[in-house]
Amino acid sequence: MSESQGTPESVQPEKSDALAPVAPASTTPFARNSSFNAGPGLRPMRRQEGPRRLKNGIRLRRKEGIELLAWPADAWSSLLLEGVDDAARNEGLDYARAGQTAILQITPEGIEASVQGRVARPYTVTIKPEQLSALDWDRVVAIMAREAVYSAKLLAGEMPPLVEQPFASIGKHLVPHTASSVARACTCGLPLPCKHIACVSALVLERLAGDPLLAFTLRGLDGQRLLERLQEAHSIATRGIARAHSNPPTVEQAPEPLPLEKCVDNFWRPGRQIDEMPSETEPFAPHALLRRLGQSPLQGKFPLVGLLASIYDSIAEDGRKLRDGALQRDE
Amino acid sequence: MIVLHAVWTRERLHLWAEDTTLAATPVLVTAAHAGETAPSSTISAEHLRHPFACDASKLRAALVSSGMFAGDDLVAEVAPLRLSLPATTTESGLHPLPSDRCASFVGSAEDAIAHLALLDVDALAVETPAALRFLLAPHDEERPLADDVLAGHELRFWREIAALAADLIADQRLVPSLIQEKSGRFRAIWQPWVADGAPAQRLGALLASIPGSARCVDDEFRHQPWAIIEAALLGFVDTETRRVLEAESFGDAIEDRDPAVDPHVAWLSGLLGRNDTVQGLRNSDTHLMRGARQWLSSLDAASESRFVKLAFELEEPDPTSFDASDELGRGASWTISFKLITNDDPPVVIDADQIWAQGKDGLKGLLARFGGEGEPAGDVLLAELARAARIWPRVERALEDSAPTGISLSTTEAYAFLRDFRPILLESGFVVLSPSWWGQPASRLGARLLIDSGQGQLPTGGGSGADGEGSHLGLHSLVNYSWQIALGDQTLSIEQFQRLAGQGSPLLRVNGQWVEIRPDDLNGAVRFLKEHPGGQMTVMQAIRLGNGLDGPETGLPILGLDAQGWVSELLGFKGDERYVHVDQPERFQGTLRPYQQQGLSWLAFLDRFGLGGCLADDMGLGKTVQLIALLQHERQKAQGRVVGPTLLVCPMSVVGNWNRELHRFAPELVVHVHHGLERPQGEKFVETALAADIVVTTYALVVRDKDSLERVHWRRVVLDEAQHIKNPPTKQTASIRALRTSHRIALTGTPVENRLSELWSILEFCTPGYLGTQGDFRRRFAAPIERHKDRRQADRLKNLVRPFVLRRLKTDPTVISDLPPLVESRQNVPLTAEQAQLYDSVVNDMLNRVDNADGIKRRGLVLSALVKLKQVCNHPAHFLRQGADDDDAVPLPKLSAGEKLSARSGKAMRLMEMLEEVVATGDRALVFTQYRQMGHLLVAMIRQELDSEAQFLHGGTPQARREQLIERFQSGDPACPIFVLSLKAGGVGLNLTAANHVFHFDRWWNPAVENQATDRAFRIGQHRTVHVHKMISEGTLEERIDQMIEQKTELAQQIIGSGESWLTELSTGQLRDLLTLRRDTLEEDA
Repeated sequence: MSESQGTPESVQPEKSDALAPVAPASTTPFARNSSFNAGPGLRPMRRQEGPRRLKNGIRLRRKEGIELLAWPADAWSSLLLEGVDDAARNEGLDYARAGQTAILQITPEGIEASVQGRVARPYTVTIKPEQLSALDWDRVVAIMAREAVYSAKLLAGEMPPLVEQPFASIGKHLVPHTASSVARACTCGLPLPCKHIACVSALVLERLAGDPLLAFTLRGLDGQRLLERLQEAHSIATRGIARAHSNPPTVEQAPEPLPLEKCVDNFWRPGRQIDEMPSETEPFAPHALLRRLGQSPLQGKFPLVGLLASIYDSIAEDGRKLRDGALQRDE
Repeated sequence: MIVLHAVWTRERLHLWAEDTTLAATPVLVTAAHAGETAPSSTISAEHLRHPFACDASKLRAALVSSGMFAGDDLVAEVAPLRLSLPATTTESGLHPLPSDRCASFVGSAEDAIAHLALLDVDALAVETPAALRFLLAPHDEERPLADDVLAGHELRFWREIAALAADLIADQRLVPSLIQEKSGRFRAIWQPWVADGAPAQRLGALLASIPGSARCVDDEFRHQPWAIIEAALLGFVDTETRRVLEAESFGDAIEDRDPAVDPHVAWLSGLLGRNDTVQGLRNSDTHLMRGARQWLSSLDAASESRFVKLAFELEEPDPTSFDASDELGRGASWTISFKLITNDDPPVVIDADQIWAQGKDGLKGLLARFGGEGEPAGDVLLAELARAARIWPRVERALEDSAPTGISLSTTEAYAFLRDFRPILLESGFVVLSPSWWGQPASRLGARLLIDSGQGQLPTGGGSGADGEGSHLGLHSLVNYSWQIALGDQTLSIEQFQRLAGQGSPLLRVNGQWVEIRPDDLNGAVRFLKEHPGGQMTVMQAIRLGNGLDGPETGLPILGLDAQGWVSELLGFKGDERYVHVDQPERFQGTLRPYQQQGLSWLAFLDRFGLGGCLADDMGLGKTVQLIALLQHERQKAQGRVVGPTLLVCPMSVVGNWNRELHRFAPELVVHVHHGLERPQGEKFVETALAADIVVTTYALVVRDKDSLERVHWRRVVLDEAQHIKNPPTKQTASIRALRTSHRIALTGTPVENRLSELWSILEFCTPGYLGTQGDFRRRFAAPIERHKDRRQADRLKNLVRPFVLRRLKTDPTVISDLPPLVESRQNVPLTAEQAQLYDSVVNDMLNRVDNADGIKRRGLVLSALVKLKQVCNHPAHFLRQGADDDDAVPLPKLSAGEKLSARSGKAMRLMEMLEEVVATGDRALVFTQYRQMGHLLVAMIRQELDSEAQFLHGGTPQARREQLIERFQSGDPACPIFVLSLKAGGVGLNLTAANHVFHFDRWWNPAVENQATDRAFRIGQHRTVHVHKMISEGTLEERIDQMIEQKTELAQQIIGSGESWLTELSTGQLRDLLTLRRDTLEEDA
């Protein structure tokens, strides 16, 4: 699609438009199903330049645009594009294809994007779906953790509609049912929902189609985080605990241990590997782990790393005594 | 006696024990027939109380009264445990099998088919700090923990766990972590960090070597090695850390802080004291967990990319690049260049500028060419640099460049990189290529000792009397010494040194070579030179000092020793030519192999300088002939002047051998065997001794005849089988040390260099004081080397000991070419008093009755006496049917601690001595006997006395089991180096080439049968020399028949042809002549 086909802005100065809440006459939801380049839209009164072109912007790549999406992207489609007229929709898609979006952030706090229009300064689009409360999420995670099917499917990258069930059972929805629970805003000043919102929506829908876990992020819990919490809950359910650290690679790489019943013939003595204990090769480097850890990502005011440094010094002193002191006892 | 076992469960080390007094009567059961029907390898559904587990009160009493634990080290309540232990099922029910350690005292059903069974035992939980200290306490693997308390083999495993825990604490390898429990409670823990570096490798070894006995508890760990090791390491590290933090009141730091508002405080609230609960967190509050996980995961990420690593290459400055006036290179500019190194073998190295030169499009394919995943190489480089910047902030500056290729550093920065950041970058999965001199002792400032020993007054032929020449030298003679400051091997002049001292730069160029000058070292060196102007010290002090022992407390590394004069010869500065070659003595009846001549030269060299030494050649290399040649050599050199007598102390079992070898190789030497009831004492002894060239006596008599032996000033004292003088100092050791002598030589075939406490004892005899006190030695060498595998101390010890220990292995290239493929030797050993008495009574009984019998009856009498005599020669227990598995069997008398079953038989004693060497050297042996019962006895002795597993194959061994035994032996499993075989069942057909020693414990009349058995090991597939040892009881029919066969007498032909029946044809007189015990040889030291 060439730039010339991009529908230029209306003749009205943007600022006055922004103050006028009156929506253009053709803004009707019924026009939604027309395809982006077939719709008549508003013909330009006079030819204007298209938006300033953006290098390396985020482009919509999907050939079929935002049609024929699978759940939950299709469900989100009607929410995000609710009230977008055909013209804005088509222009938005054009913008998306042209890569007019410089920044697109989808976080549990909402969607924030920066779209380059005709004027020098890009517009900021924010879309904030209603979030589920922390308590709701705890309940959802608890319900999901009870059945392995959820984490199994989600880990495999699948998002079956049955994921709605845990939400339904607490009287909520994963995908909101009413458009009013999605707050949309743009700094362009055009009547909302504007083409910039349409552009961002198209990109979000494409992302959502590729990464269904984003559906959770849109409701306030990062999808990866949900998976972690599911695994954690699973670990608590099976092992009784969940841990902040993982097993050392040595353990993962070690050969499967012989079952105890296969050890009866040589039951009492350590294996010969105990005589092949490797020795320390690198000299002691003080605070090595702390330096590798760097600053704590936790939002704490207390100087954790500083205290740990003095703790390490104290215990190392003790460790050396333990190691050497124990050796002196026999004299 | 109890055998102590340890397991980790319920967050503590738990001790339980087998009680040998409760264990089954010591019958050597053959349970094969019963075991075959037992379900193999299944866990019995039932469980029962372990029948010979020690009850809690006895266990507590034993642990506390022995001083191993204080009363409050042990948790008051008894902790009953359910264990999965090996057991066997017979008609009479389920029988737990004793542990290997316990079995050596109570015997074991070695053929039993074992399966696991659930058994309940009493256990005592140990408070973790006490457990840690118990496991870290110095110990001798070969000695009991206390009187009547023996250590189960798995204690070794727990000691390694504790040692790892102590190292982790000392090296600061632990991180705070979090655990969320089912209840929602959060616990903070000090997690041992074993994911990388040497601890990761140690963990690997521990995972692979955990014995069944350390994972036998029936608990939530479900016998999983990692679960158990993780819990134990965490227990030790976390508990010890909290103990320290509590003692040092670290909790005060967060006293007034609210954990509910600050996640750091919340986390710390569970870390600083005994209470591990994280305060101020809601159950569902997962942000702390998430943050902790995110933080700790920065340690996990060894590399952002699986197939490439970022490398930092530090290049030293081009010498032409800096100012010529800056000779020491202080203003030099160093560069670090970035590279990516692939995981391929061999790795592909891609320079950063090469990456950027490809242009943006070319980057993507660059790594793909090397088998990578096609990530754009530039992205990987940038991501890895960003990761490195977290560790080494200096990298940040490189990231300001859009195409960073490297950074340049000042000398100070380069030093900081090498010293502070290099180790951490390495641990974090980066590659650091540093200049080759970094970390080498040659590039560090230190002190070298210079000693001048002069040439000594080397006699050129004229000695100074009976004590021999050169005895005024030795380790205690004085030498001049001085200290020099040196960089590695290069000594520095005072001017050079003073110039360095003024620079204040940690890396300097000296004589064109970069060296590390630590400010501490400089100050130390200045002080050192002031305080140590030089002077005189003994040779021994000098060698110790030069090897870093007894060093002055300056912190300055001692780099080595330079010597002039004879000491430099001793220390081997002249390489292989360090001692003058000595020819084979003229009167030596035989030919010394080249390595034996070398050994003789070494012994002669030590002698010349009044030094002691230890000849530790492998068994079978002929230590005896080397010593004999030394005696002849010194006499040849003395040219008729009197050379004093040598005192040889050896175990009774080899006295005969020494006597025989002396006569064979040096018939001219006057030998006095100081042994037997008629041995001279007092003045008469002195007379006899002075008239002899060599006096041979036993360890036992050194104590008993102390007074007589001390009257003579010996030319030399030689200890054969010197590993006998073990710690702790015994009366025996004291008596030996008290002997007056000029020269001391120890002979042993055990690998002394690996058995440090033995090494100390032996060198303490040869070169008293040289290795320091025992405690000092243990702290300085034994513990660091054995526990921490401290290679530097190991090298240092090797250096220290090298002048005084000569050990050649059968596998040494120079030796191997001198050895024939098959070496046969006879071990003629005396009977014990018990054996002699039994032997006499059997012979007398037979002779009394044989006169009144004829025909079949007479023949029967003779044959049965013959069998009995062979049994007596084997072992009294064999003859008395003690511990046999048939109806006539009587129980073996119980042994008390320190008593040995082998002590009742001369052959058994000698066999155990020799097998000990075999095991210690890592060799493997076959032991053949004709008798199944003797085989069982041998297995019991090997287990008890060598603490080694022995397999036994006999006629009753089922076919499947046979194959198992053979396969295990052939696999080289070091846990079972000895294979006992009955001659009939194991003498033919089998392929046992893993063995390089073959022992014939009792003799067969037909050498062909013996040879066939020998051929189990000596056959195609054998690449080593096979040593065949034939055990013969002195003065008995065994010896006489052996002689007849050897001399190929006519009678011998008959013997070989007809088996034993010819004996029955002999007249009573002939029988008496043949069978009567000849006492002309030896009498026991009774």
